[in-house]
Amino acid sequence: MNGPTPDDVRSFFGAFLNRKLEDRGQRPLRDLPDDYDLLLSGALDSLGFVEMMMAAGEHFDREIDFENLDPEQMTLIGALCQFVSAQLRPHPS
Amino acid sequence: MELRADGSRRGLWTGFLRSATLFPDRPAVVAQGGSLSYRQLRAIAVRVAACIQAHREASWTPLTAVFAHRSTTAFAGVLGSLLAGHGYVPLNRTFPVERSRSMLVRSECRSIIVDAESLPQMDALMEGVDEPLLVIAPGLEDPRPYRERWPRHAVVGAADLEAYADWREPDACRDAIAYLLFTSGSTGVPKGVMVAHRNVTAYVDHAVERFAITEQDIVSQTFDMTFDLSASDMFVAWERGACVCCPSQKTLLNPGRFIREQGLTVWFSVPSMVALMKQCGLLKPGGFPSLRLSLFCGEPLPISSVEAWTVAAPNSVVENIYGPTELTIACTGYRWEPKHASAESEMGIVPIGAPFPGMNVLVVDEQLDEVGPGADGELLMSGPQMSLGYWKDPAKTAAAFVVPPGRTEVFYRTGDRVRRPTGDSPLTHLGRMDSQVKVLGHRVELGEVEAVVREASGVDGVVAIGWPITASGYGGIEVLIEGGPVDLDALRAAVAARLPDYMVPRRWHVRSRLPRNANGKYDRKAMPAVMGDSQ
Repeated sequence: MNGPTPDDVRSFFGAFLNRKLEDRGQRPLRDLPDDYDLLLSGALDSLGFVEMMMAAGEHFDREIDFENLDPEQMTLIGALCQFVSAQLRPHPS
Repeated sequence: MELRADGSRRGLWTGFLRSATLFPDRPAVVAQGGSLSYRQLRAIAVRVAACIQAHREASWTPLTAVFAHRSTTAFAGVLGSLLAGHGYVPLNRTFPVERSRSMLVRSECRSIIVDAESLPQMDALMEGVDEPLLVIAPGLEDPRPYRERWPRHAVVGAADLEAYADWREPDACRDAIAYLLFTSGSTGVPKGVMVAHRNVTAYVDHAVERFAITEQDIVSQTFDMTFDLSASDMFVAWERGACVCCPSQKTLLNPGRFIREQGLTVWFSVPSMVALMKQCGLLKPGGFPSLRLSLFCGEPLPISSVEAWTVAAPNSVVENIYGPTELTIACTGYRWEPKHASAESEMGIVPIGAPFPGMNVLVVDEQLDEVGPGADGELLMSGPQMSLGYWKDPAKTAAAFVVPPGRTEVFYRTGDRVRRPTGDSPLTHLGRMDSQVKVLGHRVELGEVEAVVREASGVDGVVAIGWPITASGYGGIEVLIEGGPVDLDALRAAVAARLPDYMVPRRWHVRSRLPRNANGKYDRKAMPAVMGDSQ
């Protein structure tokens, strides 16, 4: 069985972010382009980012290894979805 | 003015200048903008200082704002202010601009150093600032558009700075302000803590010896400059020719990678960061072999965090240091020794140890009388690290800096509850006396959050609490509003525009009536029971 695709991950992140934005009285995002920067846009702080990654691990029932996460790239939604999708793909036995 | 053994003056800048002479080609700072050697950093800082000295008028308050974030300009700005004979006032572009403007105006700075990344916020920052400012932007190649936009202000860019070569080492008094740092205030207005040169050098002198800092060290700077612990990283490193290494906000998302890539030897952070790294599986056995010293400060340090950390950093000594901004960075310390630490800890929290040299401890009851050995009370401290008090606020200064009955010396009331040691046991921290809480290492006056919500909502019945409780403080702030109706969307937006992220309530609860105690006061302890699942 294949793991979630980058689009699956994107739609999970979109729902997570919109809940956060609504909590703060801000408008939800209509779309989530590849170059959307989670940190610089102010959508999440570092704690919120970690919270979102932990929630993704829980949602997809797989631990996400932060070790190889390049922070300069990984706050961009496109690169992050690719990274998480690759992490969640079952390893060949 | 304190004279050194060779008869020269000593300010907070002196250690840096000495290191720049001894180790000109060693790296002094790594931050956004690259790496600068001591020679390079000194060259920029001296030009910034000469520029301030050339423009300064006699009427100016000797303070310079540094509106820069995790960049080489931020470090050059701090040094440049000091070398001009000014104290620095750190501003933070990640804070709401209104808050930064209030700090700029209240501190009466007439000069401001700004990095390239903060320039876009300058229009908003200077809106309504009456006095003309000297704006120094060492990273700005072409200042002409800004000169046209801000005709009242003098704008100095990178090329202009080259012309300022006539720098004179200042005659600053040891009592002069080295930095003015605004902390959360209970009335809704941040308090400016005036920290003098002699306060910081007293700390630095002890720290470099205690932590055995050498020019080989690579020291982390995880703190924003608006957090006073950042002063430890900079000035302790520069005193001995070490390198201070400041990650970007993004790099901090993976601190483990940062430690390894930079080969850090000294780590300093709030304990929350350890908890976060632990949660993310970033504390792998032997993962940080380069670390020889790890310092934690800013909130209670759980034993479980130290245990996890020492597995990842097996070559590192761990110290828990403690101190409010008013007592300059840290004024007590406890070196973790696995053999004794568990027995000496309480409620799973590492002790705060013993006072630094010259600092006096008094544990008192509500009347400020000393309690007996082994009893609990408020921690009062005095000594060379005790700051000058609050900027232009004699009433708050008098309330916090007191002479206890039967004493002649002024002590600072920390508001922290500790146990008075028996024999040579360490001081143990038991919590806060008042409504200050720690959220991710940041000190938050709940009264300030309440004041802002109250003003924005027009409702008087507002209670803010730290929630949920975490091992080292609180996860965030939640707010309860009595009565209503309240337009929560508008209220959230108004509050978020005035407070930094960590102070913005994460959840809001509107109730027809909030719990009160027998005296008719809001019963904070009963609040979680009525919060339920509100927004």
